[in-house]
Amino acid sequence: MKHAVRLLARYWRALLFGAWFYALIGLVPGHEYQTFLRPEFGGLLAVGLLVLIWFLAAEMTQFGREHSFGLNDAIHLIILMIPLAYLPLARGVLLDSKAFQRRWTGLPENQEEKAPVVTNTPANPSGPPAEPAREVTLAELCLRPDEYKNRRVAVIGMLDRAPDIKKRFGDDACVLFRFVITCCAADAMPAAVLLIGKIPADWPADAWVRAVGRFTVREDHGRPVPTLELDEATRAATPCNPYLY
Amino acid sequence: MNGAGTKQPLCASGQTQGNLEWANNLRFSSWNDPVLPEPPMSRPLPWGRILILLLAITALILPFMPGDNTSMRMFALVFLSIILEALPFMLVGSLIGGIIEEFVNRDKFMARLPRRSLTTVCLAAALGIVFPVCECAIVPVVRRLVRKGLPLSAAVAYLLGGPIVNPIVVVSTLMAYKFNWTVPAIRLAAGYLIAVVVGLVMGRLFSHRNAFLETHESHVHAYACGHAHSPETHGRPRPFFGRLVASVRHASDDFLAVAHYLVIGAAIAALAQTIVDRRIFLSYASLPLLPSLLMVLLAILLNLCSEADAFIAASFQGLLPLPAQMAFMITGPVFDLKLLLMYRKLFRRRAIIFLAGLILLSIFVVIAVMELVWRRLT
Repeated sequence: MKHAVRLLARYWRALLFGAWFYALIGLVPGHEYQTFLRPEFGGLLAVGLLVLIWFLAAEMTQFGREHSFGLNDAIHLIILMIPLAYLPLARGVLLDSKAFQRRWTGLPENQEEKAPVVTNTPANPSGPPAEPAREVTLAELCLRPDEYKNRRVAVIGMLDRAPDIKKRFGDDACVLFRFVITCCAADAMPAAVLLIGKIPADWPADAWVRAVGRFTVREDHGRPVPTLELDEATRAATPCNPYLY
Repeated sequence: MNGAGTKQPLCASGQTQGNLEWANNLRFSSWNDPVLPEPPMSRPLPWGRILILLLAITALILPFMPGDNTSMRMFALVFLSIILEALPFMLVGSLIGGIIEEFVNRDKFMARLPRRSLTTVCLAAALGIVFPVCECAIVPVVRRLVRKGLPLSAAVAYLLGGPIVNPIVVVSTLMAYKFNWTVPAIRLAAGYLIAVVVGLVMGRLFSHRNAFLETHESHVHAYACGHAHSPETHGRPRPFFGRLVASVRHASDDFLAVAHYLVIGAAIAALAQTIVDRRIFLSYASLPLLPSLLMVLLAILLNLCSEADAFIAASFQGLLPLPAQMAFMITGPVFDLKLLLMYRKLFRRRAIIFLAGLILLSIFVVIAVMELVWRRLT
């Protein structure tokens, strides 16, 4: 035991920096870090890795020297190892409909003022055939509703079937959402549209869906609700980058 | 102070291994004023720290427990996102701190500081404009600047002003608010005002010694005679490479001193993000002051980077009044959980309590004024 403590006392800092370096370098291939951060942060992560190498090298210049290793050092070591223990758990995880429900607060004010309110126009009214759908992102729809009003658009997002949506907008209503990241998943904000139309009941929440339809902005209790009146919906594969930036 | 009271010469020749250990345990009441610690006596078991150790071990093994852990995975995602985002900044901040320690001469640094403390504080609060540092990186930098003789009031002003009065924050706020210049201007002005006022008041209430922790180096440098030191205390020049290695070691010391607080802060923030429904904050939107106070609470809990928080605040446009959004943007960079924990490596407990109280009070005053103006205008 004494020997182990002595070994720890000598090498714990180097071990810690080495473990962190190993964990971070493992996130670089295949851009796995994008599960947590926006792509541009790869450069910052590389800088962090470089500093960690220097820390490790500086520790190596001290190898063999005695250091103290007390209770405080043990606490620091264990606390700093905790994130590494959670890393396998978070790999490949996406912010889901539960996160959406907790983070969704509605549309910002400046869009309210600009967005014209269109109420309950029937989807694809009889007459000329529908125009070709324009591929857009949910962020574009939410940020520039004016540009897409009454246009036929196609968007990809995740499905949310919250019961309160059905209560407020009817049985055919559900929500298509996607998260927009500024820096990391912690600050991700949802961009969402209300889908009005038949979605197969067996499509679960969080399923990726490509929805095509006419974009309008409804009014609900005096607030605008970006809405897609559905022409067709198909299951979609998870996009190579599930977040928007 | 460690209570011994018997001052010993710092540099004793012919030190043994035991002396090295003694030297490692030296604490400094000031840079050139070392005090020999009391010899260790039989002490009661540190139950508080043992409890923390047990909690940390539990947190470490929790992800390996079997069972359906969807919430745990979501927690892990947010927890690691906060850490991975802050980590590079903290590492670079520590490195800057290490370079300051090794390459900045204390006397020259002191000589360059303005003579009037008000000028120093005003300049320090705006230093972020030319030397932008986010809140994760600023604590290690300020720790080293304090060791170089930066006065308390200026240190506090830079600590609070640096993460908010800086161009990156201005640009991100501008983008979040669709190039509405009023919002970043108010944010910058309020952040600067708070930094200056709190810095000046802290300078009045505390002395350097009463406010800051005594620094303690946990290792012995390659060139040292066995104790913590600064190159200028020995008066002999050292090779550049040696100083570079020493600066990296100072940096790794600083990093290890504060990084565990980042982990704890990120864990609490991730827990809050996994549990708290943000729509709760909208229920009180029409009441005076309460939305702002709730947004202060949210900022403290979320521990977001000052460069990203404007986008979250902007998502409350139309739902909460501007003063409430501003409360969120002013509080986050100067006072959140991880910062509060990191301050423990810089300030004494009493100073932290006063600092936290002053920050919250000044935020409250700023918000109250904003609310008054806002209600008159709308």
